[in-house]
Amino acid sequence: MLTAMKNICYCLAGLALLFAGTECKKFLDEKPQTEITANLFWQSEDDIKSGIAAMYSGVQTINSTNYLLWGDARSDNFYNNGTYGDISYFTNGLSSTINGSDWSPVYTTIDRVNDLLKHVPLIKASHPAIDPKAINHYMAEGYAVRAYCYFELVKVWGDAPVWTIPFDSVGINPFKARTPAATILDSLVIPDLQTALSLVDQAKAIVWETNVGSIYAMLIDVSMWKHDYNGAIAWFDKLNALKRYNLEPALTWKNLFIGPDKTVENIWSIYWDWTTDKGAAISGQLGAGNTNSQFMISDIIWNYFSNAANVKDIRGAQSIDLKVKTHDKTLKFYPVNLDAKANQVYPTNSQANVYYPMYRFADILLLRAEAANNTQDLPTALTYLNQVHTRAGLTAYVATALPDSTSMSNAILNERQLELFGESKRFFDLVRNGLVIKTLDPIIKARKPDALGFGQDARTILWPLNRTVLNSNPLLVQNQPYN
Amino acid sequence: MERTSVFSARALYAKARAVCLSLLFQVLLLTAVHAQTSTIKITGSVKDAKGNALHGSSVTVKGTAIGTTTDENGLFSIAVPSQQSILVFTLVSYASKEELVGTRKVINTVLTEGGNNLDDVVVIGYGTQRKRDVTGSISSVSAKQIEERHPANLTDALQGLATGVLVTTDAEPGSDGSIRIRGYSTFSSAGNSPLYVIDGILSDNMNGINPNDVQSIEILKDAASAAIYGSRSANGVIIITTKRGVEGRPGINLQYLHTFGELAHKLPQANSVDTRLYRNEQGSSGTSNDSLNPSFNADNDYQALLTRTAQKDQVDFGLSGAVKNMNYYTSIRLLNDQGLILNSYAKTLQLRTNLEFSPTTRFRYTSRFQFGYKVGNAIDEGNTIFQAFQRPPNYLVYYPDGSLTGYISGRRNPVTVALYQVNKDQVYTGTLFNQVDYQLLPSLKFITNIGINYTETRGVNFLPKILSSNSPTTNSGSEVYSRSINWQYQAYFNYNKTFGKNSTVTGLAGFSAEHTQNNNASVAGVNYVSEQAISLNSATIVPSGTTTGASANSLASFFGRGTYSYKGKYIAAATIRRDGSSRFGSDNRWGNFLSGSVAWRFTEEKFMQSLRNIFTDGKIRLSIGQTGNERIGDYDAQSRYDFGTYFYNTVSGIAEGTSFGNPHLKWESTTQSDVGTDLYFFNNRLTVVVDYYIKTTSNLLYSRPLPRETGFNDIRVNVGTVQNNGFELALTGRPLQTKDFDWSITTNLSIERGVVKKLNDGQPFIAGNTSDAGNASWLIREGGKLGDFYGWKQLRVYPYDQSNAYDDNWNPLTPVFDATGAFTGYTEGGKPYGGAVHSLYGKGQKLKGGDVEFANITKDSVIDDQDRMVLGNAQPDFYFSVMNTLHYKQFTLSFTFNSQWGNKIYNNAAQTLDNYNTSNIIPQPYVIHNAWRNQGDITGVPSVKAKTSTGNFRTNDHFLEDGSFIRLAYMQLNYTLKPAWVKRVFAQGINIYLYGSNLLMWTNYSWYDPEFTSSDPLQLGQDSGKYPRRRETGLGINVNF
Repeated sequence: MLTAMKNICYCLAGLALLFAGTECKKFLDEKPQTEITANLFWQSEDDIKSGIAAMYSGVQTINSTNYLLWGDARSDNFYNNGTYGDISYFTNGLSSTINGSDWSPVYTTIDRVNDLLKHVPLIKASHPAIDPKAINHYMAEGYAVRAYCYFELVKVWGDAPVWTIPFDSVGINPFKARTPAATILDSLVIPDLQTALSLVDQAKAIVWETNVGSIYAMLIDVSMWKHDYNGAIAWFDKLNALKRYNLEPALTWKNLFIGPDKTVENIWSIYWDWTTDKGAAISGQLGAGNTNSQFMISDIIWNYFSNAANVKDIRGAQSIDLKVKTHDKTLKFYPVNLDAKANQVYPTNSQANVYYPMYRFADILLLRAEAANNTQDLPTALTYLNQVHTRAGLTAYVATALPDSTSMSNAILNERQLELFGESKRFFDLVRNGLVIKTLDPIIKARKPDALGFGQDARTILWPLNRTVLNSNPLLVQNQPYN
Repeated sequence: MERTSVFSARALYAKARAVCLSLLFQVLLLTAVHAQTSTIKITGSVKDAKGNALHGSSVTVKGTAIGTTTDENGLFSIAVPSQQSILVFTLVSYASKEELVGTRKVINTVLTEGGNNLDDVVVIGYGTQRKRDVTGSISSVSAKQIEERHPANLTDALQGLATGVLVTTDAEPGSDGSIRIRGYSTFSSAGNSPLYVIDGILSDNMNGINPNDVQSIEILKDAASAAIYGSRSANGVIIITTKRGVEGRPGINLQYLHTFGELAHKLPQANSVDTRLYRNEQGSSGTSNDSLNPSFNADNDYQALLTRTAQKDQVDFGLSGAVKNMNYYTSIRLLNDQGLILNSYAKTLQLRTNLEFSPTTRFRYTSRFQFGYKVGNAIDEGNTIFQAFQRPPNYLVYYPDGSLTGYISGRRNPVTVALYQVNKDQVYTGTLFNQVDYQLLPSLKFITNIGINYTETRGVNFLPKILSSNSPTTNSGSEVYSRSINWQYQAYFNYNKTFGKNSTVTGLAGFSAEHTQNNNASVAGVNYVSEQAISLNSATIVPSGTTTGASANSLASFFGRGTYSYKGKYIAAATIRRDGSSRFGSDNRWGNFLSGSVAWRFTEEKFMQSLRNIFTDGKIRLSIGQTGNERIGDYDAQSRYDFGTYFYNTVSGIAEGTSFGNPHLKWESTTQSDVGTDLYFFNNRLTVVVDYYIKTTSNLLYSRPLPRETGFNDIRVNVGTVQNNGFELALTGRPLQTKDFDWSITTNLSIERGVVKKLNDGQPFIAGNTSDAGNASWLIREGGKLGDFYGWKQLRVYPYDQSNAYDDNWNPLTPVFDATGAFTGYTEGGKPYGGAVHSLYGKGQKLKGGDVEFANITKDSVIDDQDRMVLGNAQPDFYFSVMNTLHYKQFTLSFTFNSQWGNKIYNNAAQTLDNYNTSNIIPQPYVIHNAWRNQGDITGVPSVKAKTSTGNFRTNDHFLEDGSFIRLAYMQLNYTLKPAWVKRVFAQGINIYLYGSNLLMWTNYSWYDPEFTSSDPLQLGQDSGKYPRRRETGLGINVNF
């Protein structure tokens, strides 16, 4: 009996030792079950498609709330809606903790692009069966999105650290200082766009993705930002030569926002499906069925569109909800959905779909007009301006009404403000034309006499770096005069 | 056996296989073999000095595993191997006694009460030890102490019972509370909770355990005691031993308790008059101020409408007993707790069966089975009790037709939410445990066991249309399932031998392995076509809310311990454990954990003998050891791509998450040294236990921020050091002891001091709110302490617009006004000031009268995030409890005071109400009546009109309150019926008792209750409007048949 039990004991002790020796390593190897380890990804063309989807998902995240914060909130398009929003955007009181100051989602997207650009050539090398044209187009999409990301960084913060390789090993030094904005534009954004152009499949024209049209559009936009008007005109001619884009007829103007894939005008729009992407957060800012909007429509916009004399402007009733007397509902991005009393029904913000327009032909035509005006070519400027102006149902400007470049510039910017209201353009239009302080300071002072405003200090046109971002990288230096 | 030659793995394996095949057969033979052994049967009784039978006293044969316990008549029966056998009688709080069997067949013995409890057996890891020989810091809790409280769960039961153990309970029905031993040693929530060992099975919690099943609880606090559990023991180990049957005829125990709970602390709330006053202050009152509009003409006392008398039924049934070679214990508990808030409840069913079978004196087989079921409606506190304060009291609760209102002007009806919002959680737990003990030699025992834990939860959430803020209304919901299966295997040898008269040696060597698999699935839906049966079949499924999750982890361990005791005077112990965890980088999986301890019972020395009358016993303990923490994500050491959240245009994207995988991750190790003393005076009428410890966690596992430009937020690293030191004092005394009257008192005092010594690159970081919104933030920095609230310091509310004026060094200037009230200029230090006047700006606007003046740390013109400072700390300076038990004849009165002292609480509940941020949220009446109104007003409450636009409600110390409290936590008056009466109803014993909890409370904290759990150690002490606590009284009965 004793022997038997001893035997059992030795048996178990033996098993334990065996376990320690050979089985233990295997026993302690646990593999993720709902994720995959890095070595299992980037194996096939389907993986590339998933990587591309994740990249655009990053662009969705960048724009979800920042679209409006960066491009419209600080301009004269909106005002703070009482306690629901943050008045700092409207008093030029930005701080390093304010929403919109965090560039993390931009860099997350850049890292995904860099990962894509690293691995697609490897897949290409190991999978000769994949159509090289398709492979090149994937690369083109990556380069175009990376250019878009860095252009956003330059527009919002100026200088920014440059990452062109993925952070995929703990051995990589994670700390980088900011590179000057001009260097980023010249040696990263423009070269990336040109590389994209060399790789892009000219036949592909899916509006939800970067394509040859959106690459040209970005080149025009970047050239305008650099005040390289001849460059912008040259890129415009190439875009026009595609013979792909035109102004959408007035009757279907709404489709630009609710069905961009059905129009001839949209060049690049962001896809959205709340069931997989959660609600588009811009709805909480502009108008959702379950909550008060953070922003109300500025008096400038409201007074223009609600003026009986401007009823013929088709954009008014299709952009803002003129029935809501609190001025806080912008319905531009929603399909018409009326209740029994003919009031617009808004989606709850967790179920809102918004197809954020990135570039559309009206935007490009007005940039072309701006370029013409800046190269003293007033007749051309007038032509392009009037194309957009008359499409809105308005009478064309006559040349004598806009006799000089100042009045022409005002008319173009005014047209852009109305046409592209809420499309993340207005603040950058003012920046590009050096009109931020001149235009906005009087409005801020009129609303809040004690507000700081811009004063004579143009440095606050740029955003502050977010505190969390600053704390995460000691090499970063805050934009002055923010602290 | 030729051990040396057999121990090559191959030979061993062959042998092992052969042996295993014959294993089952031989086990079956055991009983038959046993029948041939000869033994002597001894019977007898155990009584106290007064002649009362002692039930549950342990009777063992010295040096063997043979043992039994006395029945309720104090009788026992035991088979001993020989006449030389020595019987050892022990019972908690009685002096143990030894009797040589000799020629006797009947042994009646008397145990003296209050005697030396140093012979009590203490459960330590993988074995037991006499209290006399303990070298570490271990607190023991007995079944009696637990039963006196009639706790709904074990967390309640442990509060205040041990030093160094901070037990925090929550008020919501079915909540489990939290336990923290000797401070916060790491930054993760899981990493700070103790390891639970329930009858040998390691577990992360003790939620499924019926407190009535517990025989004893040992809390291993220092490293020397806990290190035998290695990798998960850094925050102490709580060992729970459940009951076993005692010899005698079957004992049946029935208990019933019913309690009534009332809202312990009703808060002041604005009535409709206050509300209208506030509406006028706001300026734009809209229609809701209209005294003729029937929708806005109520004056509700929401707290009264939303709460009720809580009712709790607690029914326990127990059956236990033992026959010659077998004992059994089985119990059932039913708990039905209907909470204070309407429709909040928790119902529990717990079953347990413990069986032990000893066919021979050498062999014992143990089987334990436990099943638990809990169902509860976890009420949404934010939308019920907290909404009760937010919603203007003049809004309707019922429409004239008697139906409930839903949303009015953006405010939910809290009664509707309580009644219609579904938050139902069901939890099923099951444990199956089998163990075999075999006495190989008189001094060597082999134990092996296997245990399986199964947990399944199902949660149903549903928000009906009546609670929708959308127009038109919609409904939404989700279902969540999760399952966790864990198995554990242990095998170890216990050695115990006394050499000569004086030297006792014990040893332990063993191996264990365990594996846990977790799975979960959740499905979300909207637009349910029927609200009658909440089924996702009637809903449109939302892909973004429909996910599955799965993860697994494994641990393998080797462990050993040796102790040496010389005459019980000099004692030394050492442990070693080697753990491998699947969670770490493949090169860093294994960690070694060592400990050593010594103790000196100086009262055994000759020079102390003259003091023996006063100084009964004294021991000094010294210990040092390493323990570990491995509680991080199962795959944090691996770079991973995930899916499901990166959809674009119908394609599911694949990308990396926000945390970067670190392949170099390894164990976090905590080194703790402890010095303590156990002193017994006046024949144990006074016991003093003092401990001092220093606990240092290095290679701290935490998520260090990565530069955001990498595309990642953080990476888990092993950098950083946290140190805790503390002092613990436990005093137990029996000041009075007469024939009829007996008073005992226990005081436990714990002082803890923690400091963050080192962080990655010395980089501080902010936890919680990082924006300038009003909820709490915490600064984690070197030299700081976990729980340091970080925010702006409120100096005052500017009385005048002109008060916002400073000189060149940012010293405030005093505005001067003439007789007509016109501003004439500034003075500084009483003298007219003629220099430049500077002003402060918040959110881009110049601050005015009625705005808050915050401390201007950076001395510039803008109040922004650089002006924050540490405002206070959420951890108590000390905590203590005082427990009294008074016996008078058949009556027993026991009561417990609990206290925490010196901690701060961020009252975010008040902040949310009082920040004017949402026009339809009504502040507290104090705010309405004291808000700044006119130039010159001196008050601490900013102007209603200022709202949040100038940042008046940034996280600031105005909402930081003292959380100190003393609570009369438990009280019980028990009457034991006289045995003569009891016999008439054929019972063995009957007790009737009055019970109360949370009867009295002293605190300055203004919200419901200063005691609540904080799940994240980086975010301690924020009250966001917790479930209110009840004052509970009840009546119970306990019958033994």
